[in-house]
Amino acid sequence: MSSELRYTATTQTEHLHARYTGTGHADVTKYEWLTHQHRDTCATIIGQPTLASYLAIADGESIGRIKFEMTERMLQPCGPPPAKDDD
Amino acid sequence: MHLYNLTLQPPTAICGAPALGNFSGVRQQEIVVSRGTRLELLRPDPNTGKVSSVLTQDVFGVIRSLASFRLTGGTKDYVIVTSDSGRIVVLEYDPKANVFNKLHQETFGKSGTRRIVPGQYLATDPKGRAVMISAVEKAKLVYILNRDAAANLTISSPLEAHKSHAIIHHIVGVDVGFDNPMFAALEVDYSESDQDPTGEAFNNAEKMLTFYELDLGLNHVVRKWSEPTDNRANLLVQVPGGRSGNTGDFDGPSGVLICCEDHIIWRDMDSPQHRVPIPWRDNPLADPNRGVIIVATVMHKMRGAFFFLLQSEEGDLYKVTLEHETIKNADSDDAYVEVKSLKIKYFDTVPVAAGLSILKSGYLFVASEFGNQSVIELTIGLSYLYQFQKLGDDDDEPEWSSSNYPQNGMADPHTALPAVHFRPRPLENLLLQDEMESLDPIIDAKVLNFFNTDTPQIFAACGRGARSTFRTLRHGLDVEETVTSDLPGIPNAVWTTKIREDDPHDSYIILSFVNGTLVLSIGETIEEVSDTGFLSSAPTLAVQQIGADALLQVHPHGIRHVLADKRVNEWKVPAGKTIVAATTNKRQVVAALSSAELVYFELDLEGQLNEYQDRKPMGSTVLTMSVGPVPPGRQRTPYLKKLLRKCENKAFPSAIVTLTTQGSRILVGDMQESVFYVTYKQSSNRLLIFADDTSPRWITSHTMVDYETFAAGDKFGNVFISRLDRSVSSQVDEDPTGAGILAEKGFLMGAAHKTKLLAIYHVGDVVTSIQKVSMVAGGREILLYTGLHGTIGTLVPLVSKEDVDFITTLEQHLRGENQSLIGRDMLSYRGYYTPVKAVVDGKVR
Repeated sequence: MSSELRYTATTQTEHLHARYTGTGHADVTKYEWLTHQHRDTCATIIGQPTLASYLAIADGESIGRIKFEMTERMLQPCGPPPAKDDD
Repeated sequence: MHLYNLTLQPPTAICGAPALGNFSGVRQQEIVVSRGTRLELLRPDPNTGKVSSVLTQDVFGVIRSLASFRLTGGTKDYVIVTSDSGRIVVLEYDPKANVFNKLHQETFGKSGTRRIVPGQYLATDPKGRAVMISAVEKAKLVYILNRDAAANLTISSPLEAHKSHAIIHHIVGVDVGFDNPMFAALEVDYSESDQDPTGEAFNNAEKMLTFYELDLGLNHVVRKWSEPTDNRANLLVQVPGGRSGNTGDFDGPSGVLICCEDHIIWRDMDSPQHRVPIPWRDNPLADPNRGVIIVATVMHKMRGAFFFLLQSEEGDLYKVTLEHETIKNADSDDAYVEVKSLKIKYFDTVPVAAGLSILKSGYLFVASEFGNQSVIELTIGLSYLYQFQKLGDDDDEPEWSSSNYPQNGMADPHTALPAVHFRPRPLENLLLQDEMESLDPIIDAKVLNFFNTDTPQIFAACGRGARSTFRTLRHGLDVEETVTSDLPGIPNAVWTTKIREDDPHDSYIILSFVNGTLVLSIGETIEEVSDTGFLSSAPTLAVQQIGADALLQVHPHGIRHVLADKRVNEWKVPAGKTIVAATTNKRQVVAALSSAELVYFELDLEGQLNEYQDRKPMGSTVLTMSVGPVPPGRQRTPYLKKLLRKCENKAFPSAIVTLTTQGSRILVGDMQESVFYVTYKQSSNRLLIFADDTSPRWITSHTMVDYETFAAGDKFGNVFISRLDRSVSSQVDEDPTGAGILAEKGFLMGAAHKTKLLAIYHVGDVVTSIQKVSMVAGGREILLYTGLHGTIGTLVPLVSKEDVDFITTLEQHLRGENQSLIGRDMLSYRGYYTPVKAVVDGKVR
């Protein structure tokens, strides 16, 4: 369970977190924060034509390939999550 | 400081797939394209195939997706546009007034290109009854389109089809005839991979093909069907379906084509799948581990038949057909379609497209993603119009059919089908009809008055790869291209030189390539010349007009001294060695050899170049060196360079991308951390950072406006001007050793002094070059910038307070009058990342 859903101080905040994916909160872990950042960045690059073109030129790829790989990367942009402590 | 932004040329790139339709409501087909921040209506002439631009409108936002649709029984197509405004708009083209009218504007989310705000993908029902818009993650909304009693277009409130923790690759409207509208989506769920530290869930993550059905009776969207598909699927294509009223035959099998890396799959709910491999280019050097993906698609229906053109990332077009059969039940009206085979063959190769459209008149519109020069013509094309010569039905190209593979290619969906190959060839099925000019992408540009005319020219390096161009533009009523020359490759160095010492202007452009040298002469046109005495079969290291009337070329194997009568004296490098670096001035030449020796030459009074007998060993190979100009009246410059003053500063955080200097001051543009002010203190031989910027900016270009001020562009499309306090500036210059700077305490984890932001403006294009120039002789100096997508714009300083008051008030009133076509707030768009400051938007009108 991600720390967002554990964060049930008030039902209203809980509802907001469920609705607005990526909203930060006091108990966010480093891994979650970083993953959100990367997913947000990928989404912006896919959505802004100039950024996608800029990357495509730098990488020597087509824009379609850049967008595809960027979307693929959103699945797990920062590697697997760190192992949880048993306690 | 207050500036007025005037765009000389708007962006010329086409972003995303164009929308085809009869927008004027007559039989003429038209194309609506997005130019990123502009919406443009193009009209191809069905007889000549020439494309003309009918209307362009600035939208003051980023268009992310657009599609056309037509209500059942209607004759006119509408355009739906999604953007970064958090709103969906329905536009109608009014041919009388030649404008787009906004029929509907529905708000659904925040502005900006965000991850969970819909707008990235847009799919319409083929019968024009509904539209689905989707975000990159989670959110999907469906709007129902209909007519009211007075036959006006209506749009419903949105119906949610969200799926949390899902990344969406693509969506498409499924052709189901007049059944409930259906949409297909490619989704990956990340909830398990996010929780599994072993990485197993990530490896097992499946890409799902999901069908969403809009139940028109119950007015809600249901997730009808979801099955795993190829993990490297990236695009979906609509396949005709639905039943024709007359014959009872189906138009097609419905379902979708799933474009995956290396494969195309036809699939519908609960039907056996068909899979074919995407043929590879026959290239022995290709990386066998790298697959090929489809980046642009188009489906065309004609007289009951249909076919697809799919374009790979290499630009190769494939023709894909589906063989299908309507099977009728003799007793009842029931019938279904069976797909017999899916076939693919190589069709032709055209520039890689952002989108393709096929016109009824038999033309293919290729909106190429980077507008590059076509090899044959001298005009430049962003978008090409090709005429179909034939449909590739009767040629020798091999065709691959799913029916030739076990279980139609789906015997083992996790294993790739054996690779198949084709050989690319010149166009056979298509004929180039027309090209539209585009500068996109402008990688760099310089403004110089090279031809010594009234106005300076803009020299731009455009394009990418083998289709790059070097272009000259002249500012006038229109920015127009005057000279374009094809280059055989990417030059790695450029010089210009005079022929004689007393020539007023430079006459040659010398381009050095990896394996040769090209000499161009400058006149009315730029032409290649071969009788200059320069060696063209080797790269050039240095070029110098030497003595009174001679030229000098340094190449890796020698030094050529070309006299005025074209006689050549050549000094050859000893066998086994090459020249690795060279530096020259009017009378002296120093060449560094691969054996780490320096050879020195000097021009004597008779104009002969003489080698100095001693060669100086340097200990290690020289990378670069420089010799100062000869002082007037002297025979030589007194120094020999004290080579390579060893002095460095490694304090720059990421990577240095731009440098400008004035006196001992150096401005360093960092890739992520804006611009640093550096001073060089000769007495202590130190490079010292004494000021920096407060905000992190991803600099792409910068220029010094004056000794204290710089203008810069960043990666996110902003252009801004910052200034250092004059007292700090003079204090630094008065410090002889830089000890004072060293002793200063850093501020905010950076240098002791900070620049102040004077002006900022969001251009909407990555600024690739910026320069302070005067565009008319004796005119005021302005800032001219170029953008990646082909923008050329200027920032004109306003001189009087009255001007500023008048123009800002006018702008404010115009903003109140004119609303953005896509519903974006103009002021917030110009202040996308930082609120716009001290710049008047010249596009508001």
